[in-house]
This record gives sequence, structure tokens and C-alpha cells, in this order.
Amino acid sequence: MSNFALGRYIPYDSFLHRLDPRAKFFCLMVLIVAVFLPFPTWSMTFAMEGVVFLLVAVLLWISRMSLRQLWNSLKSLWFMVVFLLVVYVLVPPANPSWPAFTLWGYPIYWDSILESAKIFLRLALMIMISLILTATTKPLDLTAALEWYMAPLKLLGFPTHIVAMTITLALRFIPTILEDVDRIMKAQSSRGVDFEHGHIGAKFKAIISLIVPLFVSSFIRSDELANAMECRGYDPTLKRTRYRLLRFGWGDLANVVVVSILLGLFIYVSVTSFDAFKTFWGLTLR
Amino acid sequence: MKIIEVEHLTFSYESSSGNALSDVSFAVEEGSYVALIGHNGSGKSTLAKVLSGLLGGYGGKVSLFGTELTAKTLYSLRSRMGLVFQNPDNQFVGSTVRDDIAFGLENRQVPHDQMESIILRFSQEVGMEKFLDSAPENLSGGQKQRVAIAGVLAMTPELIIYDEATSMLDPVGKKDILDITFRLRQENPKLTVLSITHDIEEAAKADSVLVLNEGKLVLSGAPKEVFAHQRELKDIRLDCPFYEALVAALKAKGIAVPDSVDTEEKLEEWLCR
Amino acid sequence: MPIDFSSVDFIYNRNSPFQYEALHGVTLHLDDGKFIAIVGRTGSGKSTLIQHINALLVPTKGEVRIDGFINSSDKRKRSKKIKDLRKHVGLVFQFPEYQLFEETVERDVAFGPRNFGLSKEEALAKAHEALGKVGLDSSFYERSPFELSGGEKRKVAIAGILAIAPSILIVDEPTAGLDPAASKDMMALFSKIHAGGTTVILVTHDMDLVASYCDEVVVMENGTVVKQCPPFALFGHDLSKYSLQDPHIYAFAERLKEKGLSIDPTGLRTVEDLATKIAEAKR
Repeated sequence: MSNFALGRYIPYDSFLHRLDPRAKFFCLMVLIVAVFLPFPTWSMTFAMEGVVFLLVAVLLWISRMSLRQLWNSLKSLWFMVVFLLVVYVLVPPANPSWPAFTLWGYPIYWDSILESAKIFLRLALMIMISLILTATTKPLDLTAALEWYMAPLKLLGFPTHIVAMTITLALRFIPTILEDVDRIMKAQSSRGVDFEHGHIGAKFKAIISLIVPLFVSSFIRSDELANAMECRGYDPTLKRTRYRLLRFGWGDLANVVVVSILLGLFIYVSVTSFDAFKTFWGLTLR
Repeated sequence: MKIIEVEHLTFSYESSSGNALSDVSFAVEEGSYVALIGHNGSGKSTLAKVLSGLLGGYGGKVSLFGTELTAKTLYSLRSRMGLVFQNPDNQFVGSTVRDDIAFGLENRQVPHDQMESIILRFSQEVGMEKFLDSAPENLSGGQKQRVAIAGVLAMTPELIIYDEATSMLDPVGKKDILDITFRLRQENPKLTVLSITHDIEEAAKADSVLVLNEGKLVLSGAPKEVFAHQRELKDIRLDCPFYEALVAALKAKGIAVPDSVDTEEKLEEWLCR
Repeated sequence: MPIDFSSVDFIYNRNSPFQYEALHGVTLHLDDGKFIAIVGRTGSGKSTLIQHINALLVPTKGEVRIDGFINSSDKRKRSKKIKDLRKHVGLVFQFPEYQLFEETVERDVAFGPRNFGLSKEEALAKAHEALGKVGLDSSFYERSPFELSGGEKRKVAIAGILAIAPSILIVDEPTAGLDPAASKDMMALFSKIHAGGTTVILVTHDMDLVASYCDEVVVMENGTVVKQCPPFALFGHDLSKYSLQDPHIYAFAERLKEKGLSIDPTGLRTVEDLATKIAEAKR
């Protein structure tokens, strides 16, 4: 399954699944932009990110994402979080103004902690937003959307259709190549290769005994595939009709509009340094 | 009409000395089922590649559907024939069965609104209509080859060339492909099939058999004639079908089987009389 | 080394939506020194079964014993150095050509012995010996495996396992894709290896091979063993329900018998055998 490469597609029939992939792509990219906008105060930052978080959570729920999969995707961030915390604690952001506590005589600022938290939150949201895209969109559709977005490049002579075909073929062959890997590993294990243990030299040899046959069989595959495609009349320089067409519907238009308005709002808040807490509740928060 | 006409075909690969094919000449008539057999390395796959236009720079002349095969005529000639290759995975282009059948249609600029019905029709022809949305990794070798045939049929070819299409399949898969081919020929008597194989039993069922050895065409004719040359076939590392081998063994034991007896069933009857 | 399966279950992708039970309740005893065939339709569990014999797979339930090694689902009972089992059990997969990777033929064949602790010289010696067995002479030693023909590549791959000198040799469809003569050579090789005392386990769909070479056949269906008997005890009992066919020779002899010619189909391994029996019956 093309899982780790792109995040696994979850076959289901939610409204998200039915959206045109180009619209989805746009909406989700817009959301990511919204996530990275700067806001005036900590409270506003976390409030706005919180709004996005709620939205993303709802969308993930609609797309039937399991908590386990979410956890798996996010847990790779833990190292970054720790790293960030350490760096920011040792080198606090400019003009730290909010001391938290002292650790062995060393001052630790809330600024450091909040800054790391902010970055972590943004990264997590970015991952979650991408997950929405990959969970609700078949890889084929994603490629089609990508090809559509790349269309203007055609005018510059960029071979977008060849790139799209390459990506489609790569996706199609990932599971097949994974099977190859499995078979080769089993064959070499039967010859005494240990892929798990052993000193660095042995491990290196083990990898070679996997990589070389894999490359060889992949080259043979490509050759045979190219021959087959040629015999079936494939010619990238000629016009081709399309079996799968993307249809942009009213639902997609509505989505694009709504999300654009949302982005507009976020940009307004960011640019005008709008402080909701002050304006609505008269509170002055950091 | 001669669907395939090969005249004095000679070819050698740059990397090796000696000819992969030497002065090969034969013709395949419309509507016939011809088996081309030979041991691995006899030049079978080279011949398949020449006929499909994948190899050029050969000596001699190759004509398909009465037209000489050249770089100019290649594209249009290819649209009249279909090839099914040996490795089921390495000719499966689409991410699903549907997409794979559609691939050929897209290449030939078939209008979008005609595609769906064509895909459905030919997937039914090979019995894969229930698998239209299946991905190749979830299909057996035999199923993938059936899809390859569907993809070929969708272009309504006049000639189908099987390049060892069953050699990687299990017996169930092999039988499926042979049954489908048999049925196709019954439905369309004008369909010509050239099967490159080393499956002797399959060759025994063909209309005519061509035998390649070391790049040369050494025997050709009806199966019965060809397989009578047991000694020669064994010498060039081929075998005889069970029937011919049995008749020869009986002869060696002093039981002379008359010429009128030419099938296993007749032989059974004759032995039990 | 006898092989014993005790109530073995095996499930692929446990605890995932792609869970698949490939073996259940497999109990099987395979004698030492025999030429055994494992047959069954695609998906019946044959490949999964043989991978338990050299511990590529560990049972989900139950255990497999091979000469003091225990491949058990229970971690505590499992032999500590189970990978040493692969010194004694050689497994050749289908289309083994793809496992070749070294720069020269002899180094590739020596790879196995090297992994099991032999010195470079010892391993090369074993490699040369094994290459001799498969019929590749010294002119092949220094050549690159990638410039060989398909049949030669396969021989090199098999030599790579023979060089380990296993006492049990398992081969999965060794004749797949080979022309008739190469097939015959391949089976003759395994016959010779068997004659030398090695237990040979052949996984195949080809009942003609089973009839011609094997002492015993194990039939698998739906992940369990449904029959285990000498080959001729198996034929004639409606094998089509396992997607198998009686061997050609046997089937023909059976039909003759039905039509009145008294021929005993048992034990007929070659066309010559059949002809002899027919000639006798006609006298």
C-alpha cells in the first residue's frame, strides 16, 4: 500500500471524498497558509490556531481518520519538539519578557516554551491538513489535480503530461516493488543474510544484496513496460484523450469560496494586528 | 491474405556475435492459429520484437496486413494488432483494471463517452467485469493476463501475438488464457493468432507450428507433421506432445499405429478394440 | 532430518484490516530422505508452509520441529539461534534468478557459505563444487551473473543454495518458465541430489513431475493438509476439486483400463513404461 509515501487513502464516501481534488488541494493549501500567519499576541495566536485546529479536527473526523493513524503520523514530531524546546530555552527568543521559573539557577521564560509550542502546533496542523488531503483523495486523483495545476507550465514547454504519467506509473508500481523487496529479502535471508543484526560491514553487505537485485529487476521492469506501452500505441508527443475527467461542481465552488473568505479573515486579523480579546472583552493578554 | 509475411529476416544484436535470426521466412494466413516454438535462446523473443516493431535494423522484409513494416507505417500497423507479453505485471499500466484497459483507448484518442462501454464490454469478454476497480497487486497472474487481453481486444485487432504469455502462469491461468483465445477465434474466425511458446501441448492444438533453433526456422507445418520429427525435436532441446511420444514408444515396442488414428481418443479406441 | 508440524496456524498482517489466515491446523510429518511433493492450487498455503521450515515465518500458533530446532509461536520455546536452521534447510524460491547480485558468478554462489561462517577460500571451493553440480564449468566462474541467459542464471541461483550443502532442499516451482529440455535437466539434478541423501521437497502444480520423481505427495487446500500419500494413491480420485490434474500418462492408462484394456496405471512414470505395459496387455 502506498501508505508511508503519501499517507494512506481511506476508502469511504464522505463529502470530502466527493470533492474535486483540485478544489481540495486549493482549500487545504489555503488552510496551511492561514496556519502560518503571524498574530499580535500569544493569546490571539493560539486562539486562531485553535480555530483552525477545530476545523481540521472536524474534517479529519469526517474523513474517518483513525486516532491511531493520526498518532503515527504525529509522533515523528516528538524529536523536533524536544529539540526546539532545548534550543529556545538555551537561546530565548528576542527580548524575552515573561519569566516562568528557574531551573538550577537558569532562567526559563514562557516565551521559550510558548514559541516551541507554537511551532509544534503549526507543524502538527500542517501534517494533519495534509492527512486530510491524502486520506480523502485517491493518489490518481491527486496526480490529476497536480497535472491540472501544472498545465500553465506546458506553455513554457514543460512536459507536464509526461511528468504526470511518470507519477502515475510510480504510484502503480510501489506495491509491486514492495513485493519485490519482500521476495528478495526472503531469498537472501535463506542464504544466511541477517537484515536485523550484525556489525556495520555485514549490514552493508546485506543492503547491497537487496539493492542490487532490486535495481536490476526495476530496470528490466521499466524496459518491458516501455515496450508494452509503445506497442499499445503510447506516444507522449501525440494527443491523448482522457478516461478520468475531473468535474468541478457547485459544492466545490462553495468550498473554495468559503475557504477563501476564511483566509481573507485570517489575513485581515494578521495584517491589522487585530486583538479580539481586547476588542471584545477588554482584556489585555499576552 | 497473408497477415504476417516474413522474408529472409536476419538480425544480430550489437553486443553479441552470431545472428539471433538467420534467413527466417514464413507466412501466416488470415484466421489461422500459429504456434512458434523453440528452446529459450532460439530467437523467439527476438522475432516477437521484430514483428511488433520494437527492433529495427534487420535484414530482410517484414510485412503485416500486406504492408511493409517501416518506421512510417509502424504506428498505424500497430493499431491493427495486439501483443500480450510474458510478465503480467510489466504490461499492466493502469492503477486499476479499468484504467489499464482505458490506457490503450486514450492512446488511440477514442472519445471519452465511448470509453466506458468499451471497457465494460471487453472486461466481460475476458471475465474480469467484477474486478474493474481492482488494483493489479490484488490480482493473480492469470487475471492480469486476462486484463492484458481485454486491453488488446478493446482495440479490435486483426492479429494477436502472444509472446510467451502463459509461461509465468499456473495451470489454471494457462487454461483461462487458452480457453479465451479459443472462444475469441470461434466468435471471430478472421482473427489471426501467433503464439510464441514453449508449451508443446498448446502447440499441438495449433493450425500450424513453426520451429526455431539457433535463429533458423528448422521445421514448419501442421502439428502432426512437425511432431513426427521426434529425434530432431529432442536434439534441439524441445519435446514432443504426449500423443506423439506415445505413438513413437508404441512403435518401438512393435505396435504400429495406423495413420488414420490421429488423436488420443482414437488411439484409445484402437488400442481397446 | 525429519520435519514435524504440530497444529500450525499462520496469519498474515495480524490485527490489521488486511488480516489473512494462510494456514490453520497444519499437522504434518515429513520423513527424512524422501522426495516429497507439495501440491495445491495457488493460494492453498504451499509457499507459506515451506517458509516455516526454514524459519522465514514463525507460526502464529503451534510449532515446527526440524532436527532439534523448534520454530514455535511461543517465544520461550523457540530455538535461540533459529537462523542457523538455514544452514541445514535450503530454500529456492520461484524465479530465483532475481536474487543474484554479486560481481562474479563464483562470488555470488559463495555468498551463502560465507554468511554461514566459511572462510573465503572454503566458500569458493564449495561454490565451484556446487557450480559443477548444476553443470556450469569453470568458464563461468569469473563472469558477471547479469550477462548470463535466463536458464544459466537460474542454475547459478540454485548453486548458491547447494553450496550451503543443506540436508533438506526445498524448491518452489523450479521449472517455471523453462523450456522442456531445461526442465528435464533441472529435475534430473534434483533427482541426483535426492539420491545423495538429501531430503528434497518440491512445490509444484505439475502432476507429471510428481508422478515421475516423487516418493510422497502432500496436498494442500485452503491452508490445511488434505492428503498425504504416495503419488499413485492420489491419482484417479477427482483431483480437479483441488485445481489439479492427473498426470497425462496415468490419465491415459486409466481411460484404457475403463475401455477394457487391463492395464495397471500404478507406477507408470514415463511414456516408455506406458508403452511397455500396453504392449504386454496386447499379447
